Amino acid sequence: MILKAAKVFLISLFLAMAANGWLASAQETPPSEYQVKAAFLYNFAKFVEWPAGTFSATNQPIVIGIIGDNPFGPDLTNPDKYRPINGRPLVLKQISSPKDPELKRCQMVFVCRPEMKRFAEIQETLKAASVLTISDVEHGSRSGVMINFVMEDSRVRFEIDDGAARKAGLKISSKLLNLAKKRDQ
Amino acid sequence: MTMRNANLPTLRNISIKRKLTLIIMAASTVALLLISSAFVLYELITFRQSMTRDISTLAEIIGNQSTAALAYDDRATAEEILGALSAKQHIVSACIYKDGKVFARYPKNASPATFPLKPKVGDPTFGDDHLVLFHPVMLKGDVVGTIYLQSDLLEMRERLVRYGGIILLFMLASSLVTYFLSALLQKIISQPISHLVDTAKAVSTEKNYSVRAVKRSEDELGQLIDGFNEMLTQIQERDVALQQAHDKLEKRVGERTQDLQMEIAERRRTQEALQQQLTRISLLNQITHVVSEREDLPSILQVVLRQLEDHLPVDVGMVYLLEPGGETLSIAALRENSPRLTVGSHFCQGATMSIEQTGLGQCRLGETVYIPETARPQAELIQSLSAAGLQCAVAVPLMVEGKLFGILAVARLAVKSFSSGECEFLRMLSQHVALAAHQAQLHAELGSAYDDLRQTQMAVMQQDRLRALGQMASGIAHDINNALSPVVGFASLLISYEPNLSQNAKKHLNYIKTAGEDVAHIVARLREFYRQREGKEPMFPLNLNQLVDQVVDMTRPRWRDIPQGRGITVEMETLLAEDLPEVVGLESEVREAMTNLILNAVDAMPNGGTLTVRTRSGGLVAGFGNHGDHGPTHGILEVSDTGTGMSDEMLRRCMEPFFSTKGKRGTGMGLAMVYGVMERHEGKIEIQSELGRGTTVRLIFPLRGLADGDSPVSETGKATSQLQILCIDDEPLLRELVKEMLECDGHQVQVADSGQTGLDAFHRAAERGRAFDVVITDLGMPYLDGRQVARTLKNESPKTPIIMLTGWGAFMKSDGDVPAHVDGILSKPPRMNEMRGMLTRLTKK
Repeated sequence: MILKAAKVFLISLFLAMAANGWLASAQETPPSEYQVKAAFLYNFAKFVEWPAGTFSATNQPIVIGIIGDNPFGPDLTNPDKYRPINGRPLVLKQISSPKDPELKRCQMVFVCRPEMKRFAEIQETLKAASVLTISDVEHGSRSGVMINFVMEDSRVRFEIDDGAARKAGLKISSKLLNLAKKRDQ
Repeated sequence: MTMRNANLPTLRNISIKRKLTLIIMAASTVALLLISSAFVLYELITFRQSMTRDISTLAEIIGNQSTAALAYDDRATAEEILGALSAKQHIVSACIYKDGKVFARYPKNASPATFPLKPKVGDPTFGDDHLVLFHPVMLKGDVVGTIYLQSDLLEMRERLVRYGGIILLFMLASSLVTYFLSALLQKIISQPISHLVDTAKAVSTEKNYSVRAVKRSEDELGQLIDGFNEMLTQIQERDVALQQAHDKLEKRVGERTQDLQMEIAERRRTQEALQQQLTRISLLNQITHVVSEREDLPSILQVVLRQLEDHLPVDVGMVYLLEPGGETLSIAALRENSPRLTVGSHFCQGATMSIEQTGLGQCRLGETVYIPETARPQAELIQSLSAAGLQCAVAVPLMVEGKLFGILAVARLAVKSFSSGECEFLRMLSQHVALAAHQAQLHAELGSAYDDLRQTQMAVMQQDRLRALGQMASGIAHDINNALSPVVGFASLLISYEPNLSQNAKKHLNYIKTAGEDVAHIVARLREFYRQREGKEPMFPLNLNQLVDQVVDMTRPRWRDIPQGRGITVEMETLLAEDLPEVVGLESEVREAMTNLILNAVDAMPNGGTLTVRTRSGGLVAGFGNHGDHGPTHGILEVSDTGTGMSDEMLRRCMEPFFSTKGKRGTGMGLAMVYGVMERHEGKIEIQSELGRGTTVRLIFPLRGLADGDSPVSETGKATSQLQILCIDDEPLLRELVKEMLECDGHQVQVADSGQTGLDAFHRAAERGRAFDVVITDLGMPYLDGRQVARTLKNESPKTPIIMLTGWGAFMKSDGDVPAHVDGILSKPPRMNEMRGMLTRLTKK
């Protein structure tokens, strides 16, 4: 009898603990805007095809150049959270000037909102280079940015300028295109 | 099991035709079923495989399409993509899991409960009515989500139903075709078999073995038919042979049965005969047995006749015995209760008839006479039988040692009703009966011989006893004689020589003398106990009346005084015939006998009564008062009492010596003595007695003349001469008596008190020249007895007569043992006249 009672007790204890854990995770605070955007950014790398020859080695990292202050924090380079894509880890590179030649060596470039004034320069620098440009402005795509984050009903969404990408030799997956917010023309 | 039991026989019993059809149908159906099920199974498996494949492909496609929606958390797009599944009508529900939770669902409005809470990993799994698949959604090598698809199996079901229908239809069609085909084909086998069956049936029902089955093929059935036909042929042949054998056997059995029946009849007859024989043997045995239990001839014959009547049986049976003459037969036994036998002079116990009259002469020769029909005129006896209604008779001889002694005759009512067996049986029986009769006779003879022997032995024993008694008695007698001698002697001296005696004294002295002499007589008669008297005592004429008076007088104390003392009265009555002739006899003996009878009569009346003494004379035949014409021939003395009487047994034995009813008082010698007396007097005793009435004893004396030898010794007068006499006796009284008696006659008497003194006196006298003329000596004396004295004296002087005076006197005289050297013997007590006679006789010489 004692053994049976102990068993019952142990099982109920275990169940209580499991429920507790589950509740705790459920009460996690929702991710911040830039945490979502960081995830979006990471996923873009998955739906975009760079022209052949962009990567010399199979484990060559995908370099994301950030112009302006990094709003994503160090999360993006955390391999536990954002695992390498096809064996290529993500590398962040702070770009200080739009003229910086390093810009061309990036695969993706995130342009912070304040730096959009200088986008023409950046465009100039990236002429003929297959670099995916991403911005975070209200009407980014009109200015020739390939992907632009927009907020809709406090949800993060994005717009795609597929023509600009094609010009740069990048192939954006139709699936991504399907998800993009249609530009209000 | 019950089903099986119920079905098997029916399955077994249905015709081969049906069986064949059934077999073919079953085989084809089973084959078809097997093929169809294999096909369906294969279809099912391949269908399932293709279904799995299809659903996997579908999941792959949808997953691929929904990667972006997943990556960018776009549920609407994801659900839009899922919505495309509506084209696939078998997909019941679907959903996409992202990070372990349901992300998008199909249909859109499906409740969350439709889906598993968490995604799983693995191959598609079939449920009862659905197929479930979890498929991971890959994006650039990463799992971004999981697709869940659930398809119903309706398609598969539909397909199965379809297949089922097709198979059913096909099987129906094929069964029909098979049935018709088999119906056609089975005939190849079933027809010859049913033909065979019909043939066999025909053979068995009609017993016609000439029928043959027709062979149509060369296969096993053909061979079977061949074999069957061959078998029929053999059976036919065997049948014929069997029939022949059967007929033969029947015939033999018939013959044998007849023989057996004859044998059985024979045996039965034998058995019956044997049974009869046995019955008769047992009857014989029974008869022999009952006969053996009997010892006298009449009862043997009776029992034999009765057994025969009951068990043989016969209607009448009788036994004739041959009379001593050998010519007449008398009926010794007859079953008198034979109802058929009319009572006639011929048929009653003791009826006699000569052998010729009976017509059974052949029995003399030991032959059985069988008269099958008594009706034919024959001998007198047979006619009597016939008259009595007895139609058939058998007579068998009873023979002992070859001599006929009787005839056993049996008869029946029916004519010729005795079988030879029964005749034989009767013959055997007759032998047994004869033997038994003979034995009975022998037994009777033996019995009487034994009785004689016993009586003789008794007599011898009696004699011995008496002899011993006699020897003792003679010793007593001697002494009594000695003692009595002075009484008698002096009494007679007084009577003879005393002149002044009164009449009365003379009478009394005479009584004394008589009584003394009687005593001497009694003593002398003691020797009767052991020795027959030789020669006859001198008899004298007796007046019975006088004797009666004397005895009545003498016994008065016994019949009057003693009983009176006890208050009993005995009346004495004497009836004496006046004209009674004198009888001849010994007075003392007759007196003794009379006394005995009177005393017996008194003893027989312990309570008193009347005692009658009668005398009378009688005629020729010993009867009562039967005075014949020839004058009286007997003198009769009768003593009657009114006492207790005697029983027959007592009456029979009362004469035996030592038989007494008086206990210690009686010697048992009384009547025996009387009997002895009467024998000696050639008379008779008759005793009549009745218990309680009394007894009469009758003494019958014959009347006769005196014999020559009986003439009384004449009384001689006084001796002429005086004699010198020597008297030797050791008894002083006797010496004195003899001396006085002799001196009264004038003799000179010298006495001596012993043998020796006697001899001395004799010598002295001889020396003096005055020898004794006569010597009288006693016999028994101490030292020198009478014989020695006599011998000595005879030697010295042979001329001198010697007289022996002895108590043994009477014995010596009658026994003839007179001692040598003695010239005369005188008995004690000495009597005057005897002595005178003796002296006269001896001195005359």
